Amino acid sequence: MPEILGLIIGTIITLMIFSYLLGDNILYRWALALLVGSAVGYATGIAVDFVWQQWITPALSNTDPAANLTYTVPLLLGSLLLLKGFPPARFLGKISVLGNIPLGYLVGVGAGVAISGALTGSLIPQVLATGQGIRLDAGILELLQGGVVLVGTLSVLLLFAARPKSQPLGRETLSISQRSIRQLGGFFLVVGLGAAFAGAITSALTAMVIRLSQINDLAHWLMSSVGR
Amino acid sequence: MIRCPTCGMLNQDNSKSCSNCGTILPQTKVRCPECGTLNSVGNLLCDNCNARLIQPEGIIPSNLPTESDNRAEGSPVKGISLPTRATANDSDVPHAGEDELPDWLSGLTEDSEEFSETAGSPAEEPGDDEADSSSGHPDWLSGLLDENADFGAADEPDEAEHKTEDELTFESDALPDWFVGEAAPDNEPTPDSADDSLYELPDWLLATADTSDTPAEASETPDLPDWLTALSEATPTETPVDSELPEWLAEAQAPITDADTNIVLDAETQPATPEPPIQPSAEPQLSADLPDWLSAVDDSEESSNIELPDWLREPAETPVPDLSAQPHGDAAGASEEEIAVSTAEEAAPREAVVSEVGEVAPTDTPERPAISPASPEPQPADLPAWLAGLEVSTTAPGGVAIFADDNKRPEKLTAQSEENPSQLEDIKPTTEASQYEPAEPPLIQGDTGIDWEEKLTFSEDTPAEIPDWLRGLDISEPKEPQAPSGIFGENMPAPAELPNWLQELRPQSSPATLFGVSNEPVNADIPDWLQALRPEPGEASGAAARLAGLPTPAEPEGPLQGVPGVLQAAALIDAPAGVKTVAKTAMPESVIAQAQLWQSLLERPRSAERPVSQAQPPNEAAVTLIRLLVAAIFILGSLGAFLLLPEGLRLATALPAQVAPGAPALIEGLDALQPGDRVIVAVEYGMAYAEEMSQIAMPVLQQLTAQQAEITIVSTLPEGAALGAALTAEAELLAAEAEVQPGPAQLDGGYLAGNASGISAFLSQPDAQAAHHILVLASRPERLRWWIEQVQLAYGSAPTPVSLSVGVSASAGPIVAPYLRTLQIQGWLVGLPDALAYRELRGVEDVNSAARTLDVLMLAHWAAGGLLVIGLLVSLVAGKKGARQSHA
Repeated sequence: MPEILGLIIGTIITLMIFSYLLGDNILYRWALALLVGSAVGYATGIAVDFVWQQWITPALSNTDPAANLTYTVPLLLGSLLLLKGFPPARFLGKISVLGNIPLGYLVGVGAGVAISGALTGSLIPQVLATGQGIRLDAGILELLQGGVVLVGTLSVLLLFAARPKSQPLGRETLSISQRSIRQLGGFFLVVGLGAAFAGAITSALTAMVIRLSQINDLAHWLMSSVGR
Repeated sequence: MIRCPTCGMLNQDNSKSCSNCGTILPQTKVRCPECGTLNSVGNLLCDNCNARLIQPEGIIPSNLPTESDNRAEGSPVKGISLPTRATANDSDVPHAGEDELPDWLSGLTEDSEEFSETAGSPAEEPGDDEADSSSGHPDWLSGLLDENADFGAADEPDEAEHKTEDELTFESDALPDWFVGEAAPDNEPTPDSADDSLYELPDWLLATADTSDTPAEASETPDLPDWLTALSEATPTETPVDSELPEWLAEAQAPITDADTNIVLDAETQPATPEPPIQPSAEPQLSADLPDWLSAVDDSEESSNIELPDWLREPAETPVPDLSAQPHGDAAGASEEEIAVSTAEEAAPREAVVSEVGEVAPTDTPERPAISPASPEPQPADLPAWLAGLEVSTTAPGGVAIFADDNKRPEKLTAQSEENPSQLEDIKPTTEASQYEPAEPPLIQGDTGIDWEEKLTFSEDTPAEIPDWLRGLDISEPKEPQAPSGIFGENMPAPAELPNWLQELRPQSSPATLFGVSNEPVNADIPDWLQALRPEPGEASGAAARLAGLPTPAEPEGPLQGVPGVLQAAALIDAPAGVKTVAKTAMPESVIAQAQLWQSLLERPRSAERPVSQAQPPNEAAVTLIRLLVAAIFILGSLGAFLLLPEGLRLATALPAQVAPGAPALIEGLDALQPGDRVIVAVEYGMAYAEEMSQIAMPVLQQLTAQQAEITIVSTLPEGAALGAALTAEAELLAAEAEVQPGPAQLDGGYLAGNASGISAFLSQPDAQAAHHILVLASRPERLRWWIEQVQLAYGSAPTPVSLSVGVSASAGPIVAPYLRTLQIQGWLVGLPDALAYRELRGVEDVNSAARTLDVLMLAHWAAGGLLVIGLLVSLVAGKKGARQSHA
């Protein structure tokens, strides 16, 4: 029964979303608001529960001052961060500058983690993987595939690196080699963007098909129920 | 696209409210004010009539709440507000911000208030700090107040009335000495005496002050000049004034009598009192009080002792004719001496008053001829020699002839001529001059256009009558015999002796003349470089001819509209010959064309018919129809495929290994797990991708459950953990149905805050370090990248390597493909096809349902591809057609 109820509600909301085909209407807006509101509400509840469970409750229940300091400092910094939400014109806005302390800490830690991870997890492995396909012991197809990967990677990088020199009257001068590399890099870039667009369409179609399959299942259930 | 005025997000044209913040969007269409056509919101100009749709003030539609509405709602208005001055009525009302005034300003405001109240009252002594502090006045102001208070206190010390600044006076002690003057200490002003309150005047001014009307007091002032004293002492009863009158003034006051009839003419018949003729030799008796220069002129008895200039003395021998309207008759022919004697005789009995100018004594007046139309014309008076020699030209400046062109001295100017008694006839223009034919205006070049210079010449008969001052001029003779020209004509005076310093300045090539300037132009010292630029004579003449022949266009606008020749067509500065113009900068044609287009657009008047936009507005009905058609194809086609496709039919017949190259590696990695091994499942997708990701996550979780692995659900998204827990619970339910022993209790790692930082913090924990496998289920590429990077960073130096498996949505697959090809990932699943392939490779039940879904998805892909191709063909054809029309 809960499954059927879920199917029915899901079908109704799906049809409300499909009503956008006829134009902006209140049904679509309501369905959209339902999705956004439920997501935001759930996220807020999770965040509050996380903070309460993970930090406030241990800080209140813990009697060890050192341990309390471990929980108190993050709570204090988080409270200062809340001040950033006030507009500058208000009275509290004048002390919103105190929120820059935890904000700076977050930005600094995040930048450090991101940089270190990007260096070891993305840059170096990707550089190694770019030329991995070009091996003497590899087959022709693998060699060709590796060559295409290498050429495509380099040409796209050079597309953004090599810029034409600006001349008077807005004329740009480029050499033949520069122009050819820029064109090749542009080709690979367009192909990559097209593949990303295709993936997005696939995801959308997949969601649509799955929704329709569930509607189909509901229809079958209704028909069978009616038939009984 | 419609931009939300609140959050700035772009919305579809048909949207009625913002998809981000929900604000009601303005009308999706803008109506043209001229033709009424509905245009898109983003249009600046109407598509139909090209009228301006958006006002220059802003692009926000008018139906949005304005500032006035916000004010009505109580929202504050931010802006500059000038402070207001408190009025008298607001004295009791505490001023807002009064406490916020700086001390110096509040002090001044207090001072101003107290000053108006206590002005004139006894003030504290200057220099009393306590007093100043108590009153709040600054020292410089207190000082002035003290001074004023002291002065005013002496007058009315008990009164506390206000005294305006005008009533306040300053003590002399407070004023500088130069302002006070030589004020004596005793002259202390008292408030009672108005005179005493005045500051002391200088003596010379006091001497002239008329404090009393008695002449005796006036005489006490010895500093008055004599002439002024004499005037002030004059009284109506005094008769000696008559003797003091100059003769010319006395004669003017004397009644006019007819020369023949000796009848005194009354005021009605008398003409206006003219100015008496110049009689320099007339020397009437002078009083002792007259100035010397006047006495010399008026004293006839002492004429021999007084040095008169020659030009002033000479006319005594040749009396000047009375050119005024009042000829003297016999006196005209009489000598001046006779006139002087007659006036002297009249001085005594004359009772004319100096002050009463205009009144004429009725008795003892010299006989004067009367002037009347019937009376005979008087004889012309004698002219001085220098004036007699003047020959009046017949033409005045401008060519208007006035007198006869007679080189000879006209008879009218002859002193002893007895002919032409009428002076009027003397100046009568001749017949030739009466035509008044204006001569042609002289040319500007080389001709001053003044003919009278050439006409005015001295006659040969009176060379000795040239005054000394004129004679003394150094007029050098012209080099060439010239026609009678110049001022002096043939009788050039002898050149004067110039001082040496002036002679040194005389140019070598030009004659040192003062009046007789040579008519020849003096060549200037032109430098050589300028000489080289001199145009050829032929060129100059040609240029001049060209300039003369250039039409002078009429003024197109302004007050001189339609008047030609206002400005010469020639340039003011001729360009030097041989100068090459600088080559213009080469401008591209596109820039020139653009500039010309702008110019044509700006020059077009508003009344001109505006061109109609070539772009056709999109048909809304067609757009809606196409949208519905596409939706019908997808939705109805998918539903139809679900309903109509037979059960056993499989459209996708590709092998799973070919479809999902990462599935076998994933299966192998999961099969290597032992019961109780810790597996971290990262659920990094939201509810929007839940349908697709659940198809991918469910078979994997079923396998993990079947292997009795210790599953820990974590997520950087708040809803991710709940989704993962729900999936895990469903997987356990399925395992229980399959009678599979479940594994250890599921651990809820919970929500990881901070994205990559939270992942790094979680992986650094000992429990995470003990994990054997990490499965990341992500719908966005960046979340997968975080996990890959942090796992590489956290487990790079770990003794036991951890395997990493990935399950991503179809939209993230192409972007994360570089990561999938590296050795960091052991097995991956991308989208629904890979999930179905995994099911098939695992031999999971209920494959047909998944296969049907995959077939319908494949059909939807075919439909999408077909629609894209059709749209591409249509756009190509329509684009070419539009290009042809634009070219046509």
